[in-house]
Amino acid sequence: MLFLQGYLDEQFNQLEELQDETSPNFVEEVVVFDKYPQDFYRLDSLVHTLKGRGTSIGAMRMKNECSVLKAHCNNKNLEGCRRSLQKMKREHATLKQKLEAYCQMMRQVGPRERAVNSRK
Amino acid sequence: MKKGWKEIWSGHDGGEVGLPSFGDCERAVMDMESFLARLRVLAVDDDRVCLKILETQLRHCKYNVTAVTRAEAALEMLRARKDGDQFDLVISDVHMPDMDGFKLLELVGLEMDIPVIMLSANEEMETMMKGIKHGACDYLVKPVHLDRLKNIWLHVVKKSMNDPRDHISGANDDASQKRQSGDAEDEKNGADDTKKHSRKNKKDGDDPEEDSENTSTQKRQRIQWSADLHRKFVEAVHQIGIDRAVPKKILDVMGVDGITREHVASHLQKYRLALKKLSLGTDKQSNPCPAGTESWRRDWNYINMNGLASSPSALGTHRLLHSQSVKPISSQRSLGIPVRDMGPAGNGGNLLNAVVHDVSNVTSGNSYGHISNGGLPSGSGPSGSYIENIRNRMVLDADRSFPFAISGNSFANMSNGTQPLVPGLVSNSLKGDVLSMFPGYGPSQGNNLKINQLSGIAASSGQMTAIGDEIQNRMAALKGKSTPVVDFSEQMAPFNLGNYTSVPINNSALASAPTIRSALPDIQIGNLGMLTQMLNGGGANVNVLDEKDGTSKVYQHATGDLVGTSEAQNQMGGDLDDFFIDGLI
Repeated sequence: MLFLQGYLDEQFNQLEELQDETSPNFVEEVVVFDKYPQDFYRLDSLVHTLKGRGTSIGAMRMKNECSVLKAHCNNKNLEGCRRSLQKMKREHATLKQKLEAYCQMMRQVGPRERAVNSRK
Repeated sequence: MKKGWKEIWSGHDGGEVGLPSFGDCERAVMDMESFLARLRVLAVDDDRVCLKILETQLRHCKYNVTAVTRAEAALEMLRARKDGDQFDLVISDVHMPDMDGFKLLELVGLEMDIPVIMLSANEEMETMMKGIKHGACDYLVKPVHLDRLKNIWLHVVKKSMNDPRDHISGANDDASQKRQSGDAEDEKNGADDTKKHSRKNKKDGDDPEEDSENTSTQKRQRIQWSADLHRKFVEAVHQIGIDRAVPKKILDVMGVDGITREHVASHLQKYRLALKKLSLGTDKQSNPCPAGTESWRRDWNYINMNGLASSPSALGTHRLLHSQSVKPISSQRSLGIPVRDMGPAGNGGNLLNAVVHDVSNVTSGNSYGHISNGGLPSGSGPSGSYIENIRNRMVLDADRSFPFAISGNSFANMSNGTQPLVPGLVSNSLKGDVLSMFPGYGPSQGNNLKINQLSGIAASSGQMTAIGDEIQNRMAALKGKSTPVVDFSEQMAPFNLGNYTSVPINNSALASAPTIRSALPDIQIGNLGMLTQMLNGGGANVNVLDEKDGTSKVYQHATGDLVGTSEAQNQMGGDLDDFFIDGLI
């Protein structure tokens, strides 16, 4: 998460917003998959996006799980996909939690401290 | 005049060519920042999260960033900007819903020739290589590290280094700067070839001697065939005669500095190839070959760059759409007919330009391609031979005020650009509009303009080939009906006014796709004929799609006057009315 911190300090508000966006999107995507379990291609697409997001914000575990999920998709492994998806959900939940906690902390720290941090 | 980073860059007097003097550290840092601040980066990513992050990172690196989520929006922005104001760099995601990143990459390369960096979570070697093959100057894998972004300016400089105008040596400094400031005006009046394509041409009239010297010593510089240059080329070729055209002669006739025989030779080869492909007029409606697509597109741009003369915009030269299925026309010359004076390309130019790119996306099946002034997205697909004919004869003096309200499922809302451009452009209302264009013969100029735009739009419709093909099929079907055919022929007769002689040509291109029910017939062949004639302003051959009997007549058109036999065409049977559009999407 070091990578994340680099600009998080300066832009954490924006990132918070982003987090809020990602969560509902993710849920949607999972739902979609459940509805159309056979649509691997679409799922692959979604997962790719998610993976991109995950990696961009430094969520490595999430990204790894995405890769696994993608592999399952490629193999049309429905069961594998489902399992992976479950894992991803968990990862995502954890990530969300952690980020929220972090943001809260940043808020508490206050503007002055933040300024100090950004100078790093 | 807005000063781009180049002005600043060249303002530095380094000991070496173009290098800022870093003797003074502080000054260097500040210069770096101001330099970067002038670098306009366009970031494209459909994922808002990633886009935001990218934007943030770029800002952090002190770039001047603009972020968009849609590739189409990006293209619009790029097209809208003038030379001096244009973006310096584009960073785009590969995986996007509305347009493939690679397509965007190609388009930007073709139209604006600014460096593009691809971005993706996909780190497969295949994809990365694909990116480079499509012309990306770099491929970054997400997550993109800040450090990677810090150095993207190198790509911008590298790209411009090949531009002789930007050769920053003491002597040339003033010259290049002057040229840059002069660029805007020059491009407007299209006076100076050299200056006009100095931005694009790697080899400029600047240092012809240098060129010949350098040819052997350094890598041969790629010359960018601007619209004007291409027009000269085509003129030269036709002057000499396409069969007798040899590079040396062409070069002589062209009389342009800065290009060598080799350049002309390779360009000629491409031109010939493109002509051949044109005449093959296949029904390939899908991507014929992935590798070929790009060159194919470029081929078409070669052919279609006819007379894309003074186009001021930075939109490059691709005004005409290319089609994959054009049947042999009696005169291949038509393809190369230098269309005169595009005139103020302006919106119309943009329109056509965008149109070109829409069709250039022929093989992708994606629907994209806004026409900048109309913002009209068009479906992509192969173009019809018919349209091809029209297109080739477009008199590109586009009229800014495109009056058509082509309703129906096609050109709909040229001005709003909100509706997808469907090949079935030709709706009934279109017919009405078209006819209204020739109120007895209005100033042919005006009509020409409108027709041009019409055809431009028509051309832009992605599935023009389909249309053309289907028209032919319909035509074939129609052949069975005796009455309409007769009527049509009769009505076609008056169409052959004065200068026109009709030479029926079997245009099988028309008869391929069965599904198009388009309004083209609505326009009523006569109109189409008129269109092509008008387009043909220069007095070249006009291919009129004679839908009724599935042949294409070639009208030898001596003048550029509009032949206003709209009444005759009006009466054309309405049988064809429901023709097209059906299969058109």
